[in-house]
Amino acid sequence: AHWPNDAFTAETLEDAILASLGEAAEVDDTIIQFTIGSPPTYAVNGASVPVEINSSLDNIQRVVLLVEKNPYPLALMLEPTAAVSFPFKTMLKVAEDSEVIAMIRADDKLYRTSRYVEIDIGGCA
Amino acid sequence: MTVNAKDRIRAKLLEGQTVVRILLAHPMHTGRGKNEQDELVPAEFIQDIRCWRNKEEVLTIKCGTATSRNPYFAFQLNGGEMGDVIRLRWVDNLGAKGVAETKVV
Repeated sequence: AHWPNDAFTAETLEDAILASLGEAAEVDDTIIQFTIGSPPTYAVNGASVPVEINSSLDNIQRVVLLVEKNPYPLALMLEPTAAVSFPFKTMLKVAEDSEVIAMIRADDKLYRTSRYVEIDIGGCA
Repeated sequence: MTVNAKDRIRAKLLEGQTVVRILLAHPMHTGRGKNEQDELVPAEFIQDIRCWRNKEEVLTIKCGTATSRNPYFAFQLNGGEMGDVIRLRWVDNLGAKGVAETKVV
């Protein structure tokens, strides 16, 4: 299977976003959201931090989840078809206190939401 | 390392939507963690997951090392009916593969 190595091994947030989503204008919109409490603003165990995203966007080309302070910020990339709808839930590892970011590329525009998560025990073992 | 636990997948019809939940059994080593002997555990993590409903491919998930051990995913599919077959295949960075399949209830 094809796996975008350059995106997943990018070491800065900007590189990871560029490699995973490509270039597009970012729109300031609240059409993409995290569920309240998921991710939590404070998590004891960084090895499994629940993350749930919600959006009512159509024509979604790609969804990515990023953790800014992780060694490789890009955590997850989704390519949903029109049959898939939100919410999407998963668990991520978060190495240290960090911004957790969800981005969607739809109709060649980028949408972003983020939440700062504090971690008690880092989860990159 | 062999994993004895089984991949689990459940799909349920709820208010006209098919709710799919997936729990895979995988250690998801990042390549940075150490074992009891203070040796690095080589990277071993799921890279690619693809899901089908009946014959139609509905979702591709690509994971980096930041996905938790025993990865969990939940999402919804529009519509659907009882008896639809939800199938997934995963492959990790070492080439290990797995399949899981369920029927919508």
